[in-house]
Amino acid sequence: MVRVLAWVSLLACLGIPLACFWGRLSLPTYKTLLAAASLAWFVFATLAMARRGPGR
Amino acid sequence: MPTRLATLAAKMDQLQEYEREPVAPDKFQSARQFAGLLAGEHVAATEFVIGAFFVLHGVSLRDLLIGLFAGNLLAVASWTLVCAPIATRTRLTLYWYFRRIGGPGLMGLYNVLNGVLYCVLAGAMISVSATAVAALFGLPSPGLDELLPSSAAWAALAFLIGIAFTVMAILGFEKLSRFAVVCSPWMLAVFVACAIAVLPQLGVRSDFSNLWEVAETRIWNGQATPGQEKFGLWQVMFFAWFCNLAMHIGLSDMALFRFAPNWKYGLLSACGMFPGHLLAWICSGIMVAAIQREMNPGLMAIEAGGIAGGAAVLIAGWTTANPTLYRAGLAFQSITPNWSRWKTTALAGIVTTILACLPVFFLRLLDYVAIYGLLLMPVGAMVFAEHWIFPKLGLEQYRAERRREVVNWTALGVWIATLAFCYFLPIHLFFKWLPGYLFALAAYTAARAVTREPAAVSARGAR
Repeated sequence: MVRVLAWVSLLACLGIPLACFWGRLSLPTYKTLLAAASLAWFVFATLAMARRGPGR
Repeated sequence: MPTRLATLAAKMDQLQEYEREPVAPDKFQSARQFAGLLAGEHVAATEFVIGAFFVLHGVSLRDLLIGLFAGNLLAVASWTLVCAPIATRTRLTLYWYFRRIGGPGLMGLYNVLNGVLYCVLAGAMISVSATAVAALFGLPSPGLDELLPSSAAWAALAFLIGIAFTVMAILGFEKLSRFAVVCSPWMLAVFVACAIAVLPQLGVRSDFSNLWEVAETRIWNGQATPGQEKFGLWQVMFFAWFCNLAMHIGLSDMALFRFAPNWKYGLLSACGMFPGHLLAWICSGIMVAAIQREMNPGLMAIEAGGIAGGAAVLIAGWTTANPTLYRAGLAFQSITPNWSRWKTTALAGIVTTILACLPVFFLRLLDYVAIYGLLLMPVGAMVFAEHWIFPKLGLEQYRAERRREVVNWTALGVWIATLAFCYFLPIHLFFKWLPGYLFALAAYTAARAVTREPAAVSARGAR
């Protein structure tokens, strides 16, 4: 689940600028959402990596 | 003197002892692990600078695309056909293999040179990170023509960041290395996100119908920024090829590919090259065009991606400076054998931090990358000659090892002669390495052929 959330956050990092490009989001909103998606990626990806253990 | 050198060499060997044995088959890594590792390795802070510099150097869109595609293909071919075959046949690091060829003294020289070059590279990465923090606090960053720090505030910022990175490299190298694995897919995503977000500012319509036209006229328009040399297809192609020269042709990635089941794993370097050295460079080119070609990686990322963009520059510098500082520390440990690892990393960190205060290294990054590869390339050429050419010509391999020579003076002579040859070659810096490599191959083979021992002596020595 955590891994899925991590990948969803990463996809959001790519989807949010597209929404800005198509005019669905203003530039300041895009920047805020990109920061939020980035934070989510770090949280979930770190958790996913911690669960996977140091062996990999 | 020879005794001191031998003692030093023995201590140096102790540091690398755990890598002395060839990699056993049960330690081989899967293709997936290789692809992941290589993909993460080539998205660094320097990508923010290199792609932007191509725009400033007036590269046209056609030259950029063909040059990057061909250059990266040649780099992948170099890993696959030059580095991986030697690594998978010997299963050794360059350290241990070149030690057999050049002797431990020459290997030590290579180590120290590499350590100094690593410090400069880490310094450039810290400088790039400093531009992000400076942009966040509204501090001015150095201009394109400023080789020395023009602002005390920026120099102090670079110094503080350098100290912080050094402390973190000493305290938590391994944890930070694991953190870098988390960062790499995100950094590539932020590169792409920032580039997409600034496209409307450059005039790209929402259906992408005029993307090519905008790219040709407003980004890679073939017009060099005043004071910058004009680059064409060949410069782009050669740069993409030699950007990691020390790793592929210079063979330092033998350390990595000795874990590959076969030489074809070299092809997986494409997983690092094409996202990092094609896509990321294109993205940073778009970003710099959006800020009117101002060479300020921090500002361009913040303008394009806000806090996330600035964080990407800072984290890219941090995660790539971390292993670089560690490797530099390891290299310096070879000349200060009684020092602990933290002390040598601290030494490397201090040198790096001082260098980071000088913007010359990141503002002349393309030239520095060329010089870095050029200085180490002769070692790769001599190893290649000894590994592949000597057996074909019936020349004895590993003479330095058999004779227990601390320094292979022929190899040292060829190394110096190759650098002198490259220095005086009347061609562009980016092109010098290729004739230099061929020169080193020919000169080392010829020197060994001329000084070959009679068969009886050679056989007696071998016993």
